[in-house]
Amino acid sequence: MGATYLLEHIAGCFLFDEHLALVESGPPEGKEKEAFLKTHASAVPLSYPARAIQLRRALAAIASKIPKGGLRAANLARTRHDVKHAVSDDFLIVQAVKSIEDLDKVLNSLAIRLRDWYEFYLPEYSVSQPDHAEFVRGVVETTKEQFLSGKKTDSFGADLGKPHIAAMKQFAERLLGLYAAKQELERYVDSTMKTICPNLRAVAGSTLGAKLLEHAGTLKRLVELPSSTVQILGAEKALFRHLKTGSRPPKYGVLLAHDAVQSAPKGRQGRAARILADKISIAVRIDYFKGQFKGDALLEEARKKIAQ
Amino acid sequence: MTITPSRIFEVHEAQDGRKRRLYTLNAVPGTAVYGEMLIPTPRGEFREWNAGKSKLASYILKGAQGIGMRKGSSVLYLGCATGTTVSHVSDIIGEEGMVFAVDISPIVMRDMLFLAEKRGNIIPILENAFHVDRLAKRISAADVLFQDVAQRNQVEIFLRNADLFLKDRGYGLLAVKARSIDVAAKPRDIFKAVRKQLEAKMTIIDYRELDPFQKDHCMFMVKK
Repeated sequence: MGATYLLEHIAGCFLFDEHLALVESGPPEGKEKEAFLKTHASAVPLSYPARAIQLRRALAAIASKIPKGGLRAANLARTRHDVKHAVSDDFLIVQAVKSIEDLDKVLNSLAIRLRDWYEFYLPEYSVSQPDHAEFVRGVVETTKEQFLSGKKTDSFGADLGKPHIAAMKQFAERLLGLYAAKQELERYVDSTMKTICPNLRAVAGSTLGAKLLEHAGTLKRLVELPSSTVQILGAEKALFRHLKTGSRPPKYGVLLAHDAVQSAPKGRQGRAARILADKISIAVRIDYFKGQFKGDALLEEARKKIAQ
Repeated sequence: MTITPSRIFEVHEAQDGRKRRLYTLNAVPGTAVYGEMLIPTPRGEFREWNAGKSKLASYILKGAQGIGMRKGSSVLYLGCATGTTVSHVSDIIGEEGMVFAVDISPIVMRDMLFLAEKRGNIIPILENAFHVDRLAKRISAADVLFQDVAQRNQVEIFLRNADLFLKDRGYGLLAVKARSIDVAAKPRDIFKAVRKQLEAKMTIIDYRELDPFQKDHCMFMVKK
């Protein structure tokens, strides 16, 4: 008697004879499946790549035999389950960081819009307050009279009626709400980073660490990257320009924002970014494999090395 | 503008000025999948197939003689993303056909799931196309293999899947993204290298570059 082959499939268990013709099929799961497997324990399991040739013929043999409805229902259920369980904390952090970046962009253009608008009324204030957030707060909280008191000259802004000023103020209040939303998101990112990647947070800081996650996509992918790549994450444009045209390669991407790189003397910042990227790579690997907290020591090592 | 059958099975076309447009008969009338035009006619509702968003449509517009699919075909589609092209494949193969839509990303799979729930011939699978051992537990052999994955080892993935899942004399369509294989090399050189790899295992029956619809892409059609 020739060998029999067994294929465990999402649509059922399938038993084949030595010519790879389907002889019997069993249920896809449950106790009945176990019983089926037990009765046919002597059958050779069709695995890849060991039994690739047989497996190919078996899959062709069942192509017309599996009912499409059952196959689809089983795969649909499985994929729904897989998608549901694919969500992990790093996905959430990446979305939160992207939201913060979007808020930054939106807030910037809205604040500029408010400035243009408010300058009809009180141009001197807009000029004296270069910080957007502070400017918006001022529009809400101070009046023209308060601002001008103690000033030698009067404003050359137009005298506007109450409804016009109220409209500006209301708009400014909404902007303040967005600034608050941004701060809340930053706190959220910080606390989440603390739980899922404490070492990365300690070495890179929570905002910068989250940005690295964003560029890598997931924590797993960040772990798999060599630290020479971590060093230039965020400088993709310069990197590809380098690869294509042979221009000078980038020395740092988002890591430039780190204070260890910032405080390095000009001309040595690339070196600082490289050393820091080293330690970040180690940190994320500790985080990924749930090792002990070593973040502060890593950062200290990096700083020492940079200072040498 | 009149819509007439094209030389590709179940794909229709119309000449709109200098532009040729493609259509498939919408299996779910009244519903657009990605914001495409819907054109009701006495023969049924036509759904425009946007070549800028679909490499398969670009391939047809570049003069393909056939795509190997027809009513009732089973298709293994690797790299389905949100299902833009899969929805048209689903229209082409009809109720009797089925398409295994495989992608690795859970984010794009969400849209794919919603699409699959509306269309009874789509079987969505969240899996890495490289892991054929896992795919083997979830699909059966297929008449046509279509692959559009932006991976460096895309040719290897294609050959593995064709070897295991493509029926004898089945057709394979491989959309090659040169930039995924090597950003610095000339696309033509990469296409040449891909041709060599494919020729070692299968018969190449057609090759077309997909510009201006898709930059630095080409399509190989092979027969097992």
